[in-house]
Amino acid sequence: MNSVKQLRTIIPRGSRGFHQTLASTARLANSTKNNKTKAPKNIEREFSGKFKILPPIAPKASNIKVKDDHPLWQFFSHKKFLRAPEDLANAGRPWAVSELRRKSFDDLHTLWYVCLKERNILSREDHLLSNYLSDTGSFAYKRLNENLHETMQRIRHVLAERHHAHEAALESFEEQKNQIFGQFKSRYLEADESRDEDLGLQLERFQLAYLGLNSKFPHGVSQKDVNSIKFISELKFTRFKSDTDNMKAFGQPKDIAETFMIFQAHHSDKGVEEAVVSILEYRESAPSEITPEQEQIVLNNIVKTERAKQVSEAEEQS
Amino acid sequence: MANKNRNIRKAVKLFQEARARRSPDFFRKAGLGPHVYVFRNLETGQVTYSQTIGINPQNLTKQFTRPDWQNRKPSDRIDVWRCMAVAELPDHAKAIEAFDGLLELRKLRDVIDKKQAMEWRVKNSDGNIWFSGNYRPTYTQEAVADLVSLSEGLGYNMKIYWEDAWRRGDETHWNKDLVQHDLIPTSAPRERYSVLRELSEKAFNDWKQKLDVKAKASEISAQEPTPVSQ
Repeated sequence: MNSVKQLRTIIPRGSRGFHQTLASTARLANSTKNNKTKAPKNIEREFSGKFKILPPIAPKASNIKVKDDHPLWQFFSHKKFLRAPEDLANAGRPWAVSELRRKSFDDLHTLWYVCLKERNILSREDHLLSNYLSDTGSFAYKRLNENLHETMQRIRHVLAERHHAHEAALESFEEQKNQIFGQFKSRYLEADESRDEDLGLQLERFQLAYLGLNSKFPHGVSQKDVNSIKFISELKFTRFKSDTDNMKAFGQPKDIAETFMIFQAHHSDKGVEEAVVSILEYRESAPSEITPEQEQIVLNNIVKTERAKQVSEAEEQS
Repeated sequence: MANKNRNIRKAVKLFQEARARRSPDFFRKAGLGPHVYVFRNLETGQVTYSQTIGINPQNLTKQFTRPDWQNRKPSDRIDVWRCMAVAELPDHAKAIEAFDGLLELRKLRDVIDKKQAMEWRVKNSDGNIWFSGNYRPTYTQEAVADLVSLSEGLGYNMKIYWEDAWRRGDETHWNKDLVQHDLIPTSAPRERYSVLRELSEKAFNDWKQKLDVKAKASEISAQEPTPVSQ
């Protein structure tokens, strides 16, 4: 309220609104005509002969310091603005398909990106050539670009070949699966006791090659792995079954936890016997029933706890 | 001939009017640093000098006194102007002097030594100033040359903040004892005026700190007891 009264003393009643007065005052203050600010004193105002004009100074790109590990250097070959066509003369030929077939996936992956980077460099240089320079010298660049493109197409071809081969193998495997499994089963079960050690290694290879089962379960246990575990443990148990009291008391594995104990048992009759003994102890603790839906969860839990145990043991030892 | 001379006199008078009208106290009270701002036009490459953060339509009228088709009076749209350089002087009086000096150099280029200036400019095949669209790079290059001659003419220590390192040209043009170079911080390019405001604030605080130190030193020297002769 007081401030309004103060304003009234400045702006008399009946005059224009305060906002209008303020705007016009500001406008007048800024206009040249009414600008009454005096030129500053005690400052050098005369420059006669003090300054001389100089020729224009062109910018210089070398003033800009670029880090050696700047990511955009990947678009330059050895930090050169533009390679001479002679530098590309001995660039070589595209990779042959027969050469690429001998390479692993990682090698092909690396080679693909090497080619891609080189093509990026070339397209930058080609852009410069087409825009600023004559087109006459660009043949070497185009040829190299075509060679790289061909190599990349051949890499795709080889990978496609492998993909088709893999798919064909999977299809034929589905058809011959029962036959292959049956052959292995009969061979495994009918073999002599003297070949136990060898058969153990064979079983490991079989489970890895045909069932894709890694005993360390790096990515956890899937439903497919549960079925594979059942198959392997059944094979093992059938081979090493004996007439001992423990075995008679044991009968057959009742749930997935017991099956997994047999799966993990050492590949020998002693190993399976020990597993059976520990299963009998486990049965004494009256464990709750495991339904088929819970099997995968239970196995994942077992694998996790075992891994944690191993880690803690390793820490204790170190 | 009489008309031409009249035009020249008019242009010189305009340059006289364009000189700094604000006293150093004005900038001190406003909390502005001792800066002179060089703005470049993105469309035409023309350059204007300013004592405040931003271009001023009045400055445009007074700094482009003899416009022709190759050097039109540029637009005052703020979006086509970018700060090219900020010259930091030791104090506000010297900053005003530097601003006036730059106008003096502009006057020499546009009016007094126009022929010489035109000779140095790169020409196209028609004999006109080289251009691409409306852009003539020579004006920004001349502004850099003017900053060089300003530093040499005034002889003050000066720090110039550049928008790009490349624009200041070859190091051989600059007197290393007089001029230091730095870059305008680019941490927030969208808020380029706030960056300039921060620079100005920093320069003002530095200047004030120096003053305080001087005042303290003079106080201490006044308090010191006079040595007693034995």
